[in-house]
Amino acid sequence: MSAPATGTNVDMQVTLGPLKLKNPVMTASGTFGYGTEYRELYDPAILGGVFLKALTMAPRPGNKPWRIYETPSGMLNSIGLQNVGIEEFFEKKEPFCRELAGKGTAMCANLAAQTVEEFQQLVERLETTDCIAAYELNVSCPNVKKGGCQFGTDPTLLRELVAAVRPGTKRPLIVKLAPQVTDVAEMARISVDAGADIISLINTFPAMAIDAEKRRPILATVTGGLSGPAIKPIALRMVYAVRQAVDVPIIGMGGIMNWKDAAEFLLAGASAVAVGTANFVHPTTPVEVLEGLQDYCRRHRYARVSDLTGALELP
Amino acid sequence: MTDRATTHAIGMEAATPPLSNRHFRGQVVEAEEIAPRIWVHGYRLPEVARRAQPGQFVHLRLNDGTAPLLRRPFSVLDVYPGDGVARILFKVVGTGTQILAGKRPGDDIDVLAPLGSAFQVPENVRRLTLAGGGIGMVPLYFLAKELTAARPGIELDYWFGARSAEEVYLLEDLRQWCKRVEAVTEDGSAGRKGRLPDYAQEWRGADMIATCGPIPMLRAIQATTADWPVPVHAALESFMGCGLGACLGCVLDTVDGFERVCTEGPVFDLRRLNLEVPA
Repeated sequence: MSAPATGTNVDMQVTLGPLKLKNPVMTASGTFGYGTEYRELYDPAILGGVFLKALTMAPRPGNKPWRIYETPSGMLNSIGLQNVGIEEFFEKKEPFCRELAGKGTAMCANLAAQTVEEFQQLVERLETTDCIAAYELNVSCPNVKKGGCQFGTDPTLLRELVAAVRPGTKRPLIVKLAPQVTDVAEMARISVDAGADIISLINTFPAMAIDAEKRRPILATVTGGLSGPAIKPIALRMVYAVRQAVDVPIIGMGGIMNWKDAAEFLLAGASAVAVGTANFVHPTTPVEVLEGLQDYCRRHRYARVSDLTGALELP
Repeated sequence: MTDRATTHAIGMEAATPPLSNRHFRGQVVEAEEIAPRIWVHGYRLPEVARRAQPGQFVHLRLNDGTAPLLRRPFSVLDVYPGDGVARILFKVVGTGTQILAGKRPGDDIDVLAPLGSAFQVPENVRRLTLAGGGIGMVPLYFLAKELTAARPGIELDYWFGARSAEEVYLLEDLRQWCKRVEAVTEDGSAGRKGRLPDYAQEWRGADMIATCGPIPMLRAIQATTADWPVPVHAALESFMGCGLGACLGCVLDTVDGFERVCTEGPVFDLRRLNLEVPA
């Protein structure tokens, strides 16, 4: 490791196997729309990558309200994969993706489906545009009745799905793991064996909130997914566990609110991070994470941010 | 409309530069408990004061920590563009509003604003009924004030619904702008006794109705006015995430499917809403 003088530039590029990012800061699927929603707040082209809102073949209306609720240092959501569907994505959202891709931000499609065939169809359709940098298989949405986390919690189904999607593309294939499994490292190993290039984790935790006075659940779907700082320590442990289990790069996420949280994920073994819930709280968080990581590298004399990955010093 | 140079004198130094076109840091210049648990806050936010319209909201971060985590949306009460001040009115109901009520003049405030849709009053409306339940009065107060300035001759009727007399406030202001101001309280301790929708028949003759309040109240008004040949617009509230249209957390059901309170709303054509869910 070379030690840069204070004030010199830190190399912020990271290489995640076949996926190159200009910096390790991304935004998590479902928290950043299709990139357009945050344009008035900052230029999303500064991001290393964007995970687009989950796409399904047909449009999905999503779940009935109420869909979100605040919990201690966290939030529950049950959006239900509401999205415009793949064809309207091409009509209305793809141009801005193209614009961001042209500026070097990796636009990653998050794919959700009920069947293996539908995942394959999504990939096939998206292969027709050159603005998508990678596919993230959403096998871990806790908020839909069918096709949500069934793939992400059943080792056999997970292996079949990844193996079936793999031949359909040469683009990087990312599997987004569910946290509600006994052994997340095993799910990572299965994904990699079946052809995944990158592991991203974690998705939200299945969770619920109750209104005791009304004796009713708060969310219309009864349960939802827990995100935010409340889940960060669990997410860190899972990134650390997956790091021990597989050799492919990891994109870490779960409650990242600032650069320090992001640095912790990198130290635990992630090569890049995704900001999620913090986009709702403080929309310029990704910008501040990027600046903070640069400053951290300078202070600790890392020439490259990639040197942080797995640099945890164990007792 | 007079500017309140004296009350807003604190924090009149140059405003903090905007973080972006929608994200601002301002200062509290006014904090007054005008009725039990009812607070009016004035914030020095020149851009918001210049741009906010009745019905729109500000999305406030309550502290720098993670509890409470999410921002809270507050309807704009009024603006003083000359002073660069925008005001909100809120009721202390939980942890978030308790923290907000602890802010004092000089404290910083972080806002996303102005957000959402505004009340659109067609040019041909000559007589407008405003019906606010509880703190649902806030966007209607702003609307009454703005219309009085912008449309001389427009006739405004204001109906203020509350549980009791101590929850009725700012009537003196409303009387300046409205031809008729009626209070309706559940216990009859101020104005008429009952609930606001009980008196909806008296709103016949208006060219438009603008309303805001709890969902059961809106549902009752929706039913009563269903076949009236005039527009009925309502400002809605919801649990909210980003406030920017990204999280899709704040939707309500409409005749055209789910729509976001933060982006398509908070002002909706009341007849388009399916208010059966949520309760």
